[in-house]
Amino acid sequence: MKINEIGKYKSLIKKITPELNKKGKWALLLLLTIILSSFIVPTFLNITYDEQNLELGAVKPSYEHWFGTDLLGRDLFVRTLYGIKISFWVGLCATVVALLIGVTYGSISGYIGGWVDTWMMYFVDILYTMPFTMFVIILMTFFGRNFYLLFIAIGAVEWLTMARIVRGKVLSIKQQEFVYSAKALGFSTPRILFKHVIPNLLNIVIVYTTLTIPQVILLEAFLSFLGLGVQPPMCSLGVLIREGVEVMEEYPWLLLFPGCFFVFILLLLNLLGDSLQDIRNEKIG
Amino acid sequence: MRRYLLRKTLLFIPILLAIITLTFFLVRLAPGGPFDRDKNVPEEVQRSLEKYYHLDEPLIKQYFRYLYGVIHFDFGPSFRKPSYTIREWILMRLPISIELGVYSLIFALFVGCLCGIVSAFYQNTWVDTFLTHFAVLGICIPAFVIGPVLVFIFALNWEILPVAGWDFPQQKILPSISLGFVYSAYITRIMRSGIIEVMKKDYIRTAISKGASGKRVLLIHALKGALQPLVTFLGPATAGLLTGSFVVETIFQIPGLGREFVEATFNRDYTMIIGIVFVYALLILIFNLIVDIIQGYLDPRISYE
Amino acid sequence: MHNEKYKICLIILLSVFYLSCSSYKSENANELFIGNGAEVQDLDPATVSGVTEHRILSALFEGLTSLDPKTLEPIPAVAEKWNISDDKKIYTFYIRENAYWSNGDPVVSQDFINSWERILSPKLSSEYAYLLFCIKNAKKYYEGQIKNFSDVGVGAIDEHTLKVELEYPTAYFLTMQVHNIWYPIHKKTVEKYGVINERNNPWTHTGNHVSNGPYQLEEWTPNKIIRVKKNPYYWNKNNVSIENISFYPIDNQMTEERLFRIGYLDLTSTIPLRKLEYYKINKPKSLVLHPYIGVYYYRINVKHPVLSNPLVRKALAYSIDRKQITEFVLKGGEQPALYYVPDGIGIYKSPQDIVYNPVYAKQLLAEAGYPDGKNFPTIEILFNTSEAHKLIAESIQRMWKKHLNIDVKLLNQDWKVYLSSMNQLDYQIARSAWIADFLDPINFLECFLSYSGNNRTGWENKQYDILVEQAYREADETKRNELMFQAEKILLDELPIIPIYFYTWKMLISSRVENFNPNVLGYIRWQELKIKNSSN
Repeated sequence: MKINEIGKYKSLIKKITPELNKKGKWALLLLLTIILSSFIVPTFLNITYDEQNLELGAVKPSYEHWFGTDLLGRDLFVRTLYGIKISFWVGLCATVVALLIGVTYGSISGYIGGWVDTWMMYFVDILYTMPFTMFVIILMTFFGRNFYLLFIAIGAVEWLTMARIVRGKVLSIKQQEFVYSAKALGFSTPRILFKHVIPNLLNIVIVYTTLTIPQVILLEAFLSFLGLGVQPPMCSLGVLIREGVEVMEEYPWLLLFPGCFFVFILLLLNLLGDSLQDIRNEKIG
Repeated sequence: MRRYLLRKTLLFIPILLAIITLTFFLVRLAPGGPFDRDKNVPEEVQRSLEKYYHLDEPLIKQYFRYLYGVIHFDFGPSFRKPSYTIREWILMRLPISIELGVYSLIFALFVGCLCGIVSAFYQNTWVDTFLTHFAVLGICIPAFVIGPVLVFIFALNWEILPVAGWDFPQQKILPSISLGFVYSAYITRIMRSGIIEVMKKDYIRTAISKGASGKRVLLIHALKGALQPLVTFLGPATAGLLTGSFVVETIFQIPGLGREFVEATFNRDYTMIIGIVFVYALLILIFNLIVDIIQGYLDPRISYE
Repeated sequence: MHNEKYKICLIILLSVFYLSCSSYKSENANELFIGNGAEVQDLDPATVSGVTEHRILSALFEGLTSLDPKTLEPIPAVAEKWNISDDKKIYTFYIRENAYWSNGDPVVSQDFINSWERILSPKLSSEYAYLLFCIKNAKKYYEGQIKNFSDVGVGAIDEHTLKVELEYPTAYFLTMQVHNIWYPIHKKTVEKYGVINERNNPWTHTGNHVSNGPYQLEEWTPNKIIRVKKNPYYWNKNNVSIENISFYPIDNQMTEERLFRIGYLDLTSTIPLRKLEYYKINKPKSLVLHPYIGVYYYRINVKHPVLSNPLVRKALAYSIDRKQITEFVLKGGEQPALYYVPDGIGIYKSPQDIVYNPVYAKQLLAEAGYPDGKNFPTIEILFNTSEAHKLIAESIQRMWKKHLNIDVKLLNQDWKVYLSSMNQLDYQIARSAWIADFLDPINFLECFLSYSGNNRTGWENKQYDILVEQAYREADETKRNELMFQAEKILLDELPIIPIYFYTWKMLISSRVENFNPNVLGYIRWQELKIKNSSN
C-alpha cells in the first residue's frame, strides 16, 4: 500500500514536469544553471573565496575581478558563487524541515479538530511567543557549531506559520463533500488525510514554500548579523548583502552583485512556484 | 459565542504560565550571566550582586519568587538598568512599538490590498505581472536593506525626511514603510491568490453567468472569500510587526521594545527578557483571539466548538 | 473628478514637504548635541561602569580634582588645593567654600565620605568598588573584616577639609579622581527616594537628580535623550560657556554617522570603520583620530597542550604583520602594538618590540617541533561578534597560514557566551582588549597577576607577581617605572597574550565646537568647550 502511495506521488511529479508552462520551464532551467554553476565554476578558478589581498582593498569591477573585490581584497565573483551555494543549502534544509513538520502538524490538527486541535494550536501559540534569539543562542551552545543543525533549528522555527496556514485550509477542506463521502465509505483517518486532504493542500503549500525559502535565507542573514549564522570566512548571500548595505555609499558593487543575484534567484523560484500553481489550478478547475 | 470567548480568555492563564515557565528556565540555560563583563568584577562584588538579586538561591525558589511577583504584576527590578523596574520600563516603551506596528500595518494593508485586488482583477495582464514581481521583490528585500536605502534616498540625497528619531510625524514615515514593506508584499500575494481562487468557485461563476457585473462580484463575493486567508495571515503578521521591529528600531533610533528585547537577551537581563516575552505573549494571544472571531464571522462553517 | 484627486495628492505632498522643511533640531544656538553610543545603565556614579556613562557623569559631577585635557595633569576642582605628606600616603584636600550642589546646598567633606562609604558597602555591590581599595582599610571594610567605617582611612577634619590616608603610596591617586567612582553624593536626595546602599533607587530620574558638576540633569527619557543644563550653583559657572548639552543614546554607528552628516549631531561616540576613508579625504577637519590608552590583543590559553609552549606563542606573535592590519584593515591611524603598555602614559617606556619577522617565526615553530607547520593541530580564534574583530581575525588567519602553514578556524560568539568561554578557559586563542581605567601602566600590568580576575589565560609567573606588587608600593617614580619595565619584559618574553594594535580615539566633531582638546584618556572637559558664534 505504501509503495502504491509513493508511486502515485511519483506519477504526479512526472505529470507535472512536462506540463510546466514556458515561463516555468525557463525558470527551472535558469535556477538549475545558477545553482550548478555555483558548485562547478569555482573549481575552475584559481582564486578561492577567502583569498585576501589587503593592499588591494575594495576595487571596482574590472577584467581581473568581474564583480570587484571587498574590503579585504577578496574576489566578489567567487564569493557570490560561494554565497549562492551556502544559501541554497540553507534554504533547502530548513524549508524541507519546516514543510514536513508544518504540513503534518497543521493537517492533523485541522482534520481531527475538537480539543486536540485547540491544544495543538495553543502549543503553536506558545512557541510563537517564545524568544527566538534566545532559543537559537541556546541551541548553538548546546549542539556546538554544527552547520546543518542550525538550519534544522531554523526550520524548526519556521514551521509554525506553515502549520497555521495548513490548518486553516484543512478546516475548510474538511467540510467539503469529497471528504464526507470518503468518511462515509469508511476510509481510515490517515488514508483520508494523506490521500484526500494533503493533495488538496499542495496549492497553498507551494505558494508558501516559494515564500519560505527566501524567508529562511534572510533569517540566516539576520542570524549572522547576531553572530549566530555561518562562521567567517564562509559567507552566504545574506551575509554578503548585509555587509554590502553598510558600504553601499562607498562601494556600491558590494551590495549590487550579491543583491541582484539574490533577487534574481528568488524571482525564478517564484516563477516556478506560480507555474506549478497554475497546473494545480487547472487540475482543480 | 460569549461562552467561547470566556473559555478562550480563561485559557490565557495556563498558556501564559507555560510561557513564563519555559522562558524562565530557558534563559538560565544560556551561558553567561547578567553580571559578566569585559573587565572582570571581583569575586566578592559578584557574590554580593547575586545575593542582592537572589541569584544565589536554588532555581526553583527563584522561580516561585518570580511567579509570586508576576501574580501581583511585579516583574522585578532590571539587572541592567538598576533605577527602573521592569514594569516601568515596559510601560514606557511598549506604546512606541505598538505605534510603529500600527502604522506599518496600516501601510501594509493599504498597499497590499490595493495591489492584490488590482493584480487579481487584471489577472495575466502586464499590470498583474508587474505587481506580482514587485511583490516578490518586496518579500526578498529585508528591513536591514530597505531601511538604509530609503534613508539614503529620502533623507540624505533629497533631504525631505529625517534620518532617524521618533518625535515628529515625518520621522515616522520611513520606519513604518521599512517595517511594513515586506508585509505589504505578502498581503499582495495572499489577496491575489485568494481572490483568483474564489473567482473559480461555482457560486461566483453562477453569479457572473446570471449577469452580475464583474466589479460587483469581485467586491462582494471574491473579496469576502479572500479575506479569510488574509485574516489568518494577519494574526502572526501583527505579532511579527510588534516583535520583529528590532532592525527598524535600531536603524531609525526608535526607543521601542524590540530593541530592548534583543539587548536584554544579549545582556542576559533575565527579568527583562521574561517581562517582555510575557507582554509579547499576551499581545499575540489577544490578536489570535481577534483573528479567530473574525474568521468565524467570515466563514460560518467554522464552528466554535 | 480626476482633477480633485491630483489636488489632494498635491496637498499631501506639499504638506509633507512643508513639515520636513520645519526644523527637527531645536534652534538653540548654545546647545551641544552629542551621540553617546549605547543607552546608559543609570546616572548614579556609584553603580555605573561604562565609558558612555562616564561621559555624561563628568558633565553632571565633579570630583576633588580634575584633569587638564591637554596635559592630563591634575588640576583643582572641588578641592581648591591639597597637601601630600612626605611618605605620599596622606592627602589633605581643602574643599572650596563656594562649591555647591545643584539644589543650593554646599558641598562638604562629608559628601565625599558618604559616597565612598556607600560604594564600599557590600550591599550596593558597586562594580568598581575595588578602585577605592587603595584607601587604608577600605578593602577590609568591604570584605567585612572591619565593621566600623570610621576605621577606614578617610576623615573630615572640618566641613571643608578632607583627609585621606592610603594603604600604600599610590602615584596615580590624584589623576584617578576624574573617575566617576570618586564623585561625591548628595545623601539626602538618595535617601529621599530609597535606601542609601541599595540599587533600584529612582533618585537619578528626571527631576530627582542632584549633582555638583558644571551641569545638572534636565531630562532623562531612556533610549531617547539625556539633556543637561548649566548648573546655576556651580562654583565656576562664569567659565561654563555652553548652556545645554543633549546626549542621544545611539547604538547604531551607521545611524549616528548619518545624523552627524546632516548636521544633527556635533559630536559622535565613534565612527564606523567604513566611513573613515570618506572623512579622511573629504572632511578631515571633522575627524578626530588621537592615540588612546587601550590595547587590542589576542589572549592565549596557556593550558592548551600546544599553546603552552612559549616558542609556539612566540612564533604566532612574530608572524603577524601588524602594519598591514592597521593600515589596510583598520585605517584609523591605529599604531601597531609591538609591546603591551600603550605609549603616552607619563614617561614610562615599554621594554622591547615584537617585530614582524616571518622567517624567525618559522624557525621558532620548527624549534618547537612543528617544522613547516607539520603536525600542528588546527587552532581556533574566538571573538565576539563584530565586523572589525571579524576582519582582523580573517587577516590573521591568512597570515598564519601563509607564514607558518598552520590551519586556523574562526569562531564568533555572542558577547556573553564569549565572556563565559573566556572565564572558563574554554578557548584556544581569544580576541581581547584592555582600556585603562586610569592613567598608569600598572592598570595594564595588574591584569596578568596570577590571581587577577582579568588574567583569563591560565598564565602565572611568580617573578611577575612580585614585581607588580613592588610597583604598587614604590613611591619613587623612576624606581617604580623600572619595576614595571621588568614586569612587562617578562610578559613579552612569555607572551600569554599577543598584542596587535593600540586603539585610537575615533570620533566626529563639527566645526561649531571650539576649544576641544583630544587626549589619550578620551576625556572631554565639557565646561571648557565653546560653540562658535554663540552669544556669550
